[in-house]
This record gives sequence, structure tokens and C-alpha cells, in this order.
Amino acid sequence: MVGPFVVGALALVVVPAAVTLALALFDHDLVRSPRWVGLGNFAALLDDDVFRISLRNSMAFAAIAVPLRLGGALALALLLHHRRRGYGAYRAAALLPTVVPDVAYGLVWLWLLNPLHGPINLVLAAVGAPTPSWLTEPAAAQAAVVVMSLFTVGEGFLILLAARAAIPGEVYDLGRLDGAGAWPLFRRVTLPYVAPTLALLAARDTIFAFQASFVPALVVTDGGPPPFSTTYLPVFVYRNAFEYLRYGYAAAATVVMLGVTVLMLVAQAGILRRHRLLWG
Amino acid sequence: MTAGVRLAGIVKTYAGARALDGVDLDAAAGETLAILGPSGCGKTTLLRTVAGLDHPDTGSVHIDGRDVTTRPPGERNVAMVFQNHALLPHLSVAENIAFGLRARGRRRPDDVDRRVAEAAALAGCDHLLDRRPAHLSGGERQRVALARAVARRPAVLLLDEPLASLDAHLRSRVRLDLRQVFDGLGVTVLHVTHDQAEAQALGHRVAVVAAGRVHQVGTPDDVYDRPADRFVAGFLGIPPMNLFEVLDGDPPRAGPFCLVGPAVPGGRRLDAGIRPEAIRLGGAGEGTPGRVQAVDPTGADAIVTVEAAGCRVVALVPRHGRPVVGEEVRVVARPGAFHLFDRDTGAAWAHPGPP
Repeated sequence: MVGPFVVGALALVVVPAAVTLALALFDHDLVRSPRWVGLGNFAALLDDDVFRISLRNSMAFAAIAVPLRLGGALALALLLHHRRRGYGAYRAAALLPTVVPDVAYGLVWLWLLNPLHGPINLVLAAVGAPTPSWLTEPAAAQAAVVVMSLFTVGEGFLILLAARAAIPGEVYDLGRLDGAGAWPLFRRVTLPYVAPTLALLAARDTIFAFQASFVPALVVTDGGPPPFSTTYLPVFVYRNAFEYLRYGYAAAATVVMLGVTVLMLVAQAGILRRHRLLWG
Repeated sequence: MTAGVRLAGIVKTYAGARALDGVDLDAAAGETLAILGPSGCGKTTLLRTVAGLDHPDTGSVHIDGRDVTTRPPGERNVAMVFQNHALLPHLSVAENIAFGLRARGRRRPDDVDRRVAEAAALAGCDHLLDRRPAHLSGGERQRVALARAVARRPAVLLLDEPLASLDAHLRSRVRLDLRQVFDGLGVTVLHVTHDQAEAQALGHRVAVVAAGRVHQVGTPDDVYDRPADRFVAGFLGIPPMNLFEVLDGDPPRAGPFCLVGPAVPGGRRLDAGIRPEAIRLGGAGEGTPGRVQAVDPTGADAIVTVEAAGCRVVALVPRHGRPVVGEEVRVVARPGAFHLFDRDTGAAWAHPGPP
């Protein structure tokens, strides 16, 4: 019964992972035969400025985007929890950006962020706000990639919606009888109930953040504007592997990416354990 | 502080159906009013209307003479206990009890602790203060829910089937404790239940509700001995009252029995009801012959279903000496033990005197 799953997991996950780990120790360009360099790739990574910039960009993106995404998903879930007119349409709207294919999503944003003709800058200009040159200024470009990630919160939204629905309604009735306002109810009732779900989503989103930045950076900003302001780790790996044909080097970067992700997850677990957000 | 509760003309509609259809109800200060009715009769909606969690379409709610119809729940000084105890799983028992006190935000810590200890002692859970709800039994959780409700010293206490999820044994024990708590506090209590034994044990008065209407309000004896209509007669009493159509004749007949006694008014279509405990199995020559269909021993009694004269009759007899299935018996009704109801309106026409 689990045969096909095991075969798939092996062929699509385990084997490529093992190959990548092995590849990290070689220098390979698909033309000449692989040459053993041991840890030489990793040493070269340490010296590589572009790698350091990529790492910094990725971590900054994760640190900023993950809390914003979770907050957005939670806000949406709480707002769309109660049955109201048209709430079905609003829920669908919240999910839509997530189910749109990544590249199509990126291309839509390419148009939206156009400094002269894109709707975003047109609206900003109409209300007298500054109109940054989204794709040609480094800081604005990084902000743009973060903003793009804020709308694809569909999965977190669905999961938090379920978590909120699992809270018995009588708890809120009792809160209202006690005269508790909306904010105390949120902080002392809703938040503790959804905290374990939020923690799980935070871990998942952190992993996701390291990879989610790939398509927008490739399609919309192309890793620029110079120098490398939106070059994230996945972009770095992609370029080194498929454009510069340095497969071993790219594989080593991938291994570092894995290590950094694990470190961030461990740090999260430590913080949460200390804060007793998980009860029991 | 106690307060009376008065509901006048409450109408509440949900999705085109009338959950409450013109309800008038009074509970005197310090009284325990049991609200009894089958599932879906609107009694929970009634409770929520008093609490302010639901707003009636028309009608008014008064608590202690104050019109609170438009007031939010937090300003009515009302506390509630639910069937699902609704304790917060991430807080200890003491913190759960204190939740309502702290929600107001104006209590000093030592004051809060004292109130929590008092409420816990009253509800019988003061030995559980440091535990989490997950580590409590069902009965203990309900005690904590009760402590949480009384910690604020509310004017009115509302209970929505609080014992329904407890097993029968535990239920009767907790029932006794509840009675003590209510009497001790002297608070006005509205206790909603579908369990008539619970309603009659805990309520000073019982309000029988069905399909959004109040059928009768009276003491437990009132609603049992003098039901106002056919519904109340059939609802109160286990096993339920036997009901037969009254057939004209000399004397008139009801099922297998003859109706003797006060003149049954002619020209009126009536139903006659007689409680199973007023029927006995007599000796040769007495009453009407019949055959036993079923025998259910329950506690000290046995419920015997007999087919007599083409009618199904249920009698309550002592457990020892009960008949067996298939036995030929004679059913005898105690004279004058019949209730008479108008067949068309269901309203009560006459009641038997005391046995």
C-alpha cells in the first residue's frame, strides 16, 4: 500500500538529496568528469561576497516576511470566521493568490510594480504619496519581494481558520458576560488557543521563506537591482548551477541553506519553549 | 445581592421559525426556577436572552426592576454555566475562576485570591486550585465552572443543562450540592434542563416550555398533580401518563376503564389521562382483563405494559410480585384518578383530588 509513496519519496527526495550532498564535495561542470575537492567548495563560499550577500538577504527576508505573513493570515482568519453575507467570496479571494502558479503571480506583480504605468504607483501618486521606483532601487526592490509574499498566505489562513473554529463558542459567551472587550478576549482567549498552530506555521513558513523568494526574485527583479539586492540563496544556487555550471559549488550552497534553515528552526523551538505558549 | 427576573412578551425568530413565541416568565428574587422542556423547545434561547447573548425581536427583560433589554451582557451582572464547561485549557483552575474578576481589570491581587478561594470552597473544588482542566474529571470541571460563575457574585445565575454530560450516578450527587450552593447564596437561578427529575429536585418552581411557549409555571407538585394541558401531563412523569379518548356511553369509557364520579360534560370531546401509579393489577372479578405485553423492572418498581380491551395500558407496580410476559391479569384504575383534557385544545378540564 505504501509502496508507491516509498518509491516516490526515495526517487524524488532521498536520492536527489543524497546526490546533492555528495556533489557538494566535488567540482563538476557536466562537461569534464567530477573532480574531488573535499571541503574546498565550502571554503570558497566563505570567501564569496555574493554568497554572503545572498545569505544575508535570505535571512532578512525570512525575519521580516514570516511574522508579517503569519499576522496577515491570523487577521484574515479571525475576520472571516463569522458567517456574514458574502463571506464565501471573501474566503475564496483570500485563497486565490496562493493557488495561482508562481510564475504567473510574479508576472502580474511585474506589471503592478511598473514605476510609470503600474497601478500601485498610479494610486500612490493619486493620493500624493511617494512613488518609489520599485524594481530599480535596491531597498524598494527588497520591500517589493516582501510585499509580494504577503498575499500568498492562503495555507496559513485555512489552517488558522480551522484552529479558530475549533474554539468552543461558549468561551466567548462567558467572556462577554464578564464584560471583557475585544482586545482582552483576543489576547487571553483566542491567542492561547491558536498558539500551537501559530508555532507550527511559523516553522513551516520559515522553511518556506527560504524558497519562496526564488520565483519573485527570478521573474520580477532578476536578482537585481545591482548589486544583488534581491539575490537570495535559491537564486544564488540557481545561477551557479545552471548559468555558471558550477554544480558542486551550488550544491555546497544548498547544504548551507539546509543548515541555516535547521538553525532557525532550533532557535524558534527554544524561544517558544521558554515562553510557555504551548500548554499541557 | 439577589434580583428577580422578569421576561415579558419575548419573541425571537431564527431563519423564519419562531424559537420563542411570546414568552412571559417571572422568577422571584432568590428563587430557583427550573425551565423544563424537550430538546429544541427554545429554553436555551430563553436563557441567552436573559443573559444578553441574544437579543429578542420584541419584548423586554427586567433584572431587579431594571430594564436591561438593550444592555450588553457585561452590564447585566449575570453569570452562566454551560453544559460544555468552557474552561480555558491553558489556565489553572484558580486562574479560570479568577478570569471573570480580572476581566473587569479593577481588582487587587489579594482581593482576587480571596474571592477565588471562597467560590472554590462553595463549589467544592478548593482542593483542585492548581490543576489544569485537562487533569480533572467531568464532575470536577463542572464544579470549577460553577465556581467561576459565582466568583463574581452575580445577581442572576443561569445554568444551561449543566449536568447533562455527567453520568447518572454523578448527576444525583452533584444535584444535591447544587441545591446547597443555591440556597447558601440566595441568588436567583434559572436552571434549564430536559431532565424532569432534576427540574423537580432543584426548582422551587418549574416552568414547562415547548415549541417556544410556556405551557405552565408552578411548584413541582402543581405541574405533576395538576398539569395545565395534555403536553405537560404527558411530559411529567416516568413512565408517561396513559391517555385515552373518552367515548360516550353510560358510563363513559376511557380505554379499558369506565369513568365514574363527577359528571363528564356531554357534547365535549375529551381525553382522559391516568398515571401508571394509579393503576394496579387486581384479583379475579375486578377491573378489566388483559394480557401482559412487557415487564421492565426499574429500581423498586416495575413498569408493566398490558393490552386490555384493545388498548395499551401502562401500570407501575411493586417490583416484587410483578407479573411475567404473557400472563393474564386484570387492570384496575383507582376511582377518581382521571385527569380530563379538552381533545381539541389540549387544555385541562378536571383533575383528580389527592389520593
